[in-house]
Amino acid sequence: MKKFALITGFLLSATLSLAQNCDKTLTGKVIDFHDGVPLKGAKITFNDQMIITDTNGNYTIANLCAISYAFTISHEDCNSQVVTIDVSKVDNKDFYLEHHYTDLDEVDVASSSQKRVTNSQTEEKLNRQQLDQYSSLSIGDALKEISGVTSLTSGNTIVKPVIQGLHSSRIVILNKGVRQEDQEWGEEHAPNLDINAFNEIKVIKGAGSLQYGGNAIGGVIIAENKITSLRDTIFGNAQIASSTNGRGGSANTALNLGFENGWGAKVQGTVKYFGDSEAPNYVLSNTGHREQSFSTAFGYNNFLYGFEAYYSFYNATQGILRSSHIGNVGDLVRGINSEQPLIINDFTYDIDAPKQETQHHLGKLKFYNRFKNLGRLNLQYSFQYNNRKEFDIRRGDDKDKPSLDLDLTTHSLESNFVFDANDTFKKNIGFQASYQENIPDPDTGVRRLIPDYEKSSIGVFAITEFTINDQITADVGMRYDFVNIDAKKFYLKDFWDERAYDAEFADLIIADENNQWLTNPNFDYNSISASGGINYVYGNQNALLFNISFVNRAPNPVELFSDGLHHSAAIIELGDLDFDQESALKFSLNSDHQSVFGLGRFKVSPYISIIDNFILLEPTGLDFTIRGAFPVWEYKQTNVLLYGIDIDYGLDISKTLIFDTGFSYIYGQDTTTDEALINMPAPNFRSQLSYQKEHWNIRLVNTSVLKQNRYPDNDFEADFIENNIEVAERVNISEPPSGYSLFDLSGAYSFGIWNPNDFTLAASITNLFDTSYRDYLNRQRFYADNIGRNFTLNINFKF
Amino acid sequence: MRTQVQKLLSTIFIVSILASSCSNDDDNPGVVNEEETITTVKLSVTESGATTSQVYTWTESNQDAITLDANTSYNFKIQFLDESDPDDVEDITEEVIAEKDEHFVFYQTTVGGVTFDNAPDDTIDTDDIAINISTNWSTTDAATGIIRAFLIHEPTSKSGDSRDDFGGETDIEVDFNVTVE
Repeated sequence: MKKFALITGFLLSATLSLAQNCDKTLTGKVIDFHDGVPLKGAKITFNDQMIITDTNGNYTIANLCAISYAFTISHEDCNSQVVTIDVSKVDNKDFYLEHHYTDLDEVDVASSSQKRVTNSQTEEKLNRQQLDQYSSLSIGDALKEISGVTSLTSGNTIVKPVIQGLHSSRIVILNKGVRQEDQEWGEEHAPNLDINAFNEIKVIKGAGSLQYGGNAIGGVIIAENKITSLRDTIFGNAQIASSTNGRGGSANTALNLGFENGWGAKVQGTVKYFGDSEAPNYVLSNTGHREQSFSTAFGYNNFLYGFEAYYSFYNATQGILRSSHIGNVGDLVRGINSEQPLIINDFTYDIDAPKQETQHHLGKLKFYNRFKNLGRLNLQYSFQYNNRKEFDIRRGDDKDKPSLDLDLTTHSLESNFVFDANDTFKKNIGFQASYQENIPDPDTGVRRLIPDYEKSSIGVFAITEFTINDQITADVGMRYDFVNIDAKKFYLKDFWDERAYDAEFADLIIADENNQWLTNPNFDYNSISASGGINYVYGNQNALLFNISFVNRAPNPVELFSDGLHHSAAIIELGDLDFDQESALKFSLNSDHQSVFGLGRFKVSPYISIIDNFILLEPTGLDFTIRGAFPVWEYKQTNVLLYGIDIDYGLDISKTLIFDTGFSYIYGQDTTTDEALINMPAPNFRSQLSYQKEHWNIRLVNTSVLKQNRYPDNDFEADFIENNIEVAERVNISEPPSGYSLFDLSGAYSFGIWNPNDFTLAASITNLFDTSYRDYLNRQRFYADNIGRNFTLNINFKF
Repeated sequence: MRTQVQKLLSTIFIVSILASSCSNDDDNPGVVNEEETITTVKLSVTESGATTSQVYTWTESNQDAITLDANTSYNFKIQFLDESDPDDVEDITEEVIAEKDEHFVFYQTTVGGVTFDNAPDDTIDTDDIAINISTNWSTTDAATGIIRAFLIHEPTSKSGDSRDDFGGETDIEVDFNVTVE
């Protein structure tokens, strides 16, 4: 095949070159198809010439005639490909090669100038090299490299990604093509994923990725874990990271096997072990953290069909800052007023209550078949089991019993057909059906926070992508979703009457249990989502994307059913059975310039979202309980307006010195009450200066977060007895903490023992100046500072 | 190709039926009556020298007001009860006493001239600190105000004279209206 192409290339050029001017130049890069890393030492051959790419993957071929050439692009680690290019029309071309990883999904090697998931939405990605730096941390930490992505944290180990101000149920996370179902509704529930399991993580900062689910109002995170095949290979890596803060470390290893006959397999595992973290001035007691995870996959593929089986396991125990466990408002006020956490013990590896134990199993089977001149059919079944145990500080026999113990089981079946035979008019149609069951364990002795429920959902979608001309590609998509929630929920009779459910929902009652009603809420939600946009490519690889999406989200179980005290927040949270779906209309624009007047790369992504029936928690009063007075927060639906902008700028100061900076700003307003939205990320900058030369890679990173000045005033008054007099004191829970600026320094040195650059020794210092700071989106900001300086040593060996 | 499509479609169909049919049992979940909940705080107030005592009760639906005589001494015994199941009332005070090292009862008052101290029959923890289950009170002039009772779990310190001094979590914080006449 290769030979044949070479001969044709030769003939083509030989016959057509007779009367041509041969002064054309073709430049570009050879890039790893999967993770976007430029490939050094790739060979480009045509006729009898050979050009080799430089360290940054660049190539230049001069003295070409204005005709078509057949180029063979090859690299020692890749499958070769032949591409025919008409040099009279094209002077810049990037070639994408399959480097090591050959995914079952993408058997055909594309030489497209960009590899994107959607046509017209703002997308960003992190490759394996970037993820390696975060091997001992979490996905939420790594994603902060992307402008517009922040995190909602509970301490330093429970990190939830926030995309353009939205998080939790509003974000879909795909774990190797399976929608992660791990009780993501809770603000202190981090995704149960190991960052080391993935080759690449993509973020779609938009609502319109209709193939993944209709309810991703905030965006989609796609974590890819690829297996290799179609070549005989065995490779892997082993990595050990050790940190001073937390006095622990992590180890992970992966092994990939590939065979030319189409079989491939991968095994990967990670262990993490950390004790208490430390803020600059004190130990953050009971913030230790353990994690064990494992994943394996095997599969077969050839160009026509393939299958894959995948299993992943995640097990974690996370301590919750001891002093953030509070009994009532008085304790909260003491926590806020105290400079330091109220409980500081000596450093320990022990993890006591309060803590979380989570476990996640995911198994999937995937099959595809390609139909000649038509397209490809994908079929996937997945099974997920998630267990979450939360331990509070309890008394007596219940001491070691969890207060919350939820079993969530999800089965999903999905299929889609991609009509891609016609490159200028692609279609993707498919469906997803899932059945989910949640069973809270009643042995906790605590009334269920989330009731027993069964959730059935089905969605069908159709997306089409058509090329209008060489520069413009348009996409249009539609999706229909049906969700049914069939719950069995106990309500205290007092509460039932107080909420006036007795009038509206009397027919839901199915049993009488002393002071509680057993009810059977059974709700259906139907929705239509739509998305459309254009992708306009112009000049030298500049792109302009525009997208409009309309998406709905059914309320989650917390929003519907909450009815009690939330210990870690010292508030009483009340859900509402009356809730309708949220519907979001989002406009997004993305303008990407590779070179602005020769002064660097520039990317700007403004967006505006209008969300009706947005569900949020809002304080409504005080409730007097035997534990004292508590503020009552009720979930309510309101209309909101979100708009913002993400800006990225990059400049190659020299061949070795690169500067990058990103800025994001978001404005959130409740348009019904005309108040600022709570928990909106503050304006922030992330800047990086990196020096890369041969074996060295040194980075200096600055993260600067301004103070969020737009926040709703949810302060309330609580009374205290001081010197035998009752006094009212304002409880300041609303005002965000001051801004901060942090520096991180890291350096890596790569060298070869058996193979070029197979050994990397890296060291990093985060929070270089040991700055004390608190972050608005850290739920423990009332009680303690964020973590201080951390020195990490990282050894990565590839084989 | 047509047969392949048919095969696939029938597989999808069968798998989806399997997935949807292995569910749905109509068993209702069992009710949870909160354990270790404290629903009721009782103060047994005995005038010194007397043998009978007056019991004042605090629940979320009913709060008794306490009446004391001026210039008199009293013994207060505090009791924490779980009465969520009326047929099975649990005395949580026993658990508090069993875990005396991790508990402390504290009072604050706005009633002028009223003072308290632990009583000789109070529960003493392993550090020799009385945890105020039983306290002696004395009144002076006529006055009105409140007595606020706290049950503190895992206090960081058991000495002090304001709530801030003790740390820990507040398990109970209730107010009794008091009249000294």
